[in-house]
Amino acid sequence: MNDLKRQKQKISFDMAPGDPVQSGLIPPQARRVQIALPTQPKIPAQDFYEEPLFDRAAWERDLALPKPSEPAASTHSINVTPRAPSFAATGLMAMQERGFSHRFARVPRGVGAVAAAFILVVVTGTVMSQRDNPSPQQAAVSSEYMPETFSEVPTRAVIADMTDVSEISAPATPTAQSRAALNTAVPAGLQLPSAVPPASAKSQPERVRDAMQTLGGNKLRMLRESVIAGLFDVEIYTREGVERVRLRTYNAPLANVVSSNLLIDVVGMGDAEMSAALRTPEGGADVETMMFELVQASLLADEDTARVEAALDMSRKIFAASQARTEAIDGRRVYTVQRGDSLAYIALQFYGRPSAYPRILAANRDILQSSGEIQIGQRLTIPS
Amino acid sequence: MPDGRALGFIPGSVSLPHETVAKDNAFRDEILKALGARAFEDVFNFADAQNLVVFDNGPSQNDAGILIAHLLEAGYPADKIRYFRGGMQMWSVVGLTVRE
Repeated sequence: MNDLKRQKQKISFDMAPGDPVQSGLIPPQARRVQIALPTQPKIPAQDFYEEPLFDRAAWERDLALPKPSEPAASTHSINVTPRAPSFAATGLMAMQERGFSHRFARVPRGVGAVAAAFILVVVTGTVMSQRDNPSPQQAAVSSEYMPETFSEVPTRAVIADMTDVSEISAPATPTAQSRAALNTAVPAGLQLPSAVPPASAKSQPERVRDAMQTLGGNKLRMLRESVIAGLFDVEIYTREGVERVRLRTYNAPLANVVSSNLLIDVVGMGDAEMSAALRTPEGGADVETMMFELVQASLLADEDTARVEAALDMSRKIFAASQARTEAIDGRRVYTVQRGDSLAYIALQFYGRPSAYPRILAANRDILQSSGEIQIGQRLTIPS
Repeated sequence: MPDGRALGFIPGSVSLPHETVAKDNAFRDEILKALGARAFEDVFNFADAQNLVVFDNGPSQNDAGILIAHLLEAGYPADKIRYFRGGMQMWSVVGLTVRE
């Protein structure tokens, strides 16, 4: 019995003639449980390797011999261990000998030069042909957005997408209704309530009206129609390291540099008159929020419930996408003013309406001037 | 206090039955606000929302899973929610502090 157990230890999986299974040393019923692994697996060397196994004696003998002279240039062999099969002596280094570099060592240099020249010609031809025929996508990208053309005033990215007029098919003269709505609703939204009348903001309604007349009421109308049709989306973008949100209409994909510039110019001319709620800490005008307020206010002034709903949708989208973060200090919500912010923009992010900024102003009387100018880094309490 | 919580809970944790953040619960908005969300009409902004670690009794229960599903449905950002699947069972098995 003991003998049998010892035999079992020696069982291996191969079918060599000495196999106890083959030779019948193990009774047939015991074959099923022969899972014991042999302590020393027999690897049939000749099946795996073409070269003879490492002959240590010969290797040691060769080591004692003087080093062989430079090998023949054409074979390019790195003979680390003389006469030893390279895989056995040096592991991965052996791969080098039979692999890539070895094969290429035999390629004449002339062939390589010809191949390189051919590749160069092909690549050059491809590049040239692409330069001649830019793909439509490239063309579209290059003409889509040219911020450098209106970057004279240091404001955050103009809401150029909202101000596009390039595809307008509407009549040039605005309807009486839209103009009336614009005149009444727009400036009213961003003026301080009469309780705190800023001395300087008086002429802003005229300024904005002038601006909008310069732009043409049909541009605003087009934006309104985009919003009513729901053809707009919120875009999150980064400017000067600050993440911002803005609306972007689908049917107006091209930036309207002209109208944005006009708006900036008009605001710039009447710098002192501009509502401070739309002033950025850098001294520029927050044109994006201004356009938002223009479009939204003109929609809200409508009696059509669908338009009012569309106006609220503008707020919803901006509000939900806002990235503005606050800290809780002594139970207060505190927001730190960042580059490109304006009081109206902060109000838009926290209350959904730019015109809600007096709430912030009122809560920060101690650090803000009554006009509402803000500084970068200022910590504003945001009442909830 | 819910039955499971009365048996013991992780110190500093807050009990929030998943029914309270179900879509049809009238107080859901208030709870979301308490978690730091900002509300405007029917939309929420979760920029200020707290990071949550949600757990329940453990693998034998799915209350935490339901709570997370409700939160996600409400728009709570997934990257602000962590799910401690081991729950109270694993917590106590490894001998961590349990308050009762």
